[in-house]
Amino acid sequence: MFYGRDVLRDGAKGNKPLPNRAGEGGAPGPLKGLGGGSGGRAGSLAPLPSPQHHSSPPTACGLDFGSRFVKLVYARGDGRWGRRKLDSLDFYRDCLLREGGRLAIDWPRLGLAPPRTLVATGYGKNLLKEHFPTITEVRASFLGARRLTGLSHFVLLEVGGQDTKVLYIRDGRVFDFLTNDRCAAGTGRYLENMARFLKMPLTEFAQAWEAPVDISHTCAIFGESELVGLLLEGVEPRRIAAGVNASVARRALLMTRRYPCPALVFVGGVAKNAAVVRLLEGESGLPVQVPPHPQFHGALGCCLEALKLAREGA
Amino acid sequence: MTRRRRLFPPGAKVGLTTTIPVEVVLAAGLVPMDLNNLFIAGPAPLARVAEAEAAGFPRTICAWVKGIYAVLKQHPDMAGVIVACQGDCSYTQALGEILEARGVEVIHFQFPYPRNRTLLGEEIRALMARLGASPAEVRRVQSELEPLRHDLRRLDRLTYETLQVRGRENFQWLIAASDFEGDPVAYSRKLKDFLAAAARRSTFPARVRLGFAGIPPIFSNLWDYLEELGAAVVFHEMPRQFSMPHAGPDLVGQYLNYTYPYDVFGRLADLAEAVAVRRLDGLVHYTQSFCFRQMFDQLLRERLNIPILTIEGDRPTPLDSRTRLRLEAFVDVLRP
Repeated sequence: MFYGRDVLRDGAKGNKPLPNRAGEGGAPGPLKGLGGGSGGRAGSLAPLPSPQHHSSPPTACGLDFGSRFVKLVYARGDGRWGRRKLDSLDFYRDCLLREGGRLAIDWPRLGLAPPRTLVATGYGKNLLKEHFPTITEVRASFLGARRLTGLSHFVLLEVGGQDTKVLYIRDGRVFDFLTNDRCAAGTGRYLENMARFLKMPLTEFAQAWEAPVDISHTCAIFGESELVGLLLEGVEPRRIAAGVNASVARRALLMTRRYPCPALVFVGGVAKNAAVVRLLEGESGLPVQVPPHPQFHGALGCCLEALKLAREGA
Repeated sequence: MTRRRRLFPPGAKVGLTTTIPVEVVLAAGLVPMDLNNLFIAGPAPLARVAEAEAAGFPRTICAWVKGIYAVLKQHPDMAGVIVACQGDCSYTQALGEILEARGVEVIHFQFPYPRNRTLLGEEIRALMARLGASPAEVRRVQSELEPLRHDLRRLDRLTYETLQVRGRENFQWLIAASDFEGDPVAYSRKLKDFLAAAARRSTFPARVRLGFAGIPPIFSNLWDYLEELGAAVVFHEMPRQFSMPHAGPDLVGQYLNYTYPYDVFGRLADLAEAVAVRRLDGLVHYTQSFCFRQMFDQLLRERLNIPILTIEGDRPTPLDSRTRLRLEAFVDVLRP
């Protein structure tokens, strides 16, 4: 597994658990280091600290309103970057202000100064589009992944909470894309449901790749019935988990295989599942590249668009 | 001078299931009516599809074929129908046989496969003999149509060079060139007026220049939606072909240059030229549900160096939400 450029890397090594406010740090310079952020925790927002007054408030912010998490990437005037991840329902409930038909983001509650420009995308884009500039998820993914990887010819596989997308990028342009946006089969929601059903923590589930059993249904709702049968046959839960991970990898490869390109970049929340990554490599025979912070590429794409808008408006 | 035997009396309406050498029909003094255009431009085209299905046409065949069948029932004054039984598709061939069984006078026309000048010449002469059109009359009609075809090429240039003609207008004028709405003189006059008005317009502010590959899209609101997104459609592959953009040395040459009924390689060359000449940012490959031409999608992707979005339409309806989202995303990634 190859990890691309850590454009959004933390100041400290590794993806440390993050405070519930904007952190600092990261190497200086354009698009280097993205302090603060997400980590595994995306819990309740209350109580929040008082707003932090940074010497360099965010100049531009990208917001990816996903089905499970809201991801924010912001660029500061001093060349530093920040990121945040929040549960989508918490964000919807606690961070959106409704004032006389207008919708605004409660920046103080997020512990951030309001950015000069904001661009949004994602599942919740329709909620925001009357109030903020929005771009499609495909554009956000493309811009973010191109920046994160520095590649101009690759297949981008994105498996998120409720949908899967594949983009074929050639000459730095999107030549084609596929989406399965009508069904959560084989997505993060399916993996979460199956892990819960097996009573296995997601971290353990995401390590299960050896001796996978054959699983044919990747439906997020009805997948359980197949698992019941396997449990009753006495199959080890870890092998079942591996089978679930393998079914996700196989399903994803059905979408990526039509593109003649050896560079496969994997993003979205499911890219943090090491077993799926390993199984993708095994099934495809190709190295799979997972950029650092693979959930933030969409928000980064929005942030890059917001910076562009800021430049055009200047 | 020998008197030619005419199959239909002068002034009779003759239906077309696709573009065929319309000059022959006009030279025989007949009124060509493209049944595709009557179907899609008529009132309630979706109801026509339902009528054909009620009459026994399967759900799983091309809606254009069903539309042709049903619209013909609404025009009992049609004296006969010319069916391309080679160079179009097997659905149309079967449709021709069903029409014959219903008592319709069917005239077959075959575009030779592979493309062959001698065979095409024989086929055109056979059609002339059947309809009773003399070579001199056909030559006269072809030369009389030349200024009109020239104006259609100008209309196309005003679409991609100056963006004064909108995508929907380009589409409608070009598909109507298969039969000139039954009256080339009136059509030509209308076109001249339209071009004079269009030449005074300002340019459409397009963020993205799109082309359409494939057969005519069946969606009703495609162009308006794309314009809302800031995209201009500056190329329609098949409608342009229907307008005979490449005049040949004679009628046979003209219909040899026509790409639609022959192999995909002629189409690929035509598409590659359009991509370059019209400075397209992206190509939308329109495919019709259940159509064999869907299979060519892979070749378009392999041979054309341009982003391609493939969409599929079935019935004459507004765009479905999924196709709208896909078009929105496509325009969004192509724009600067």
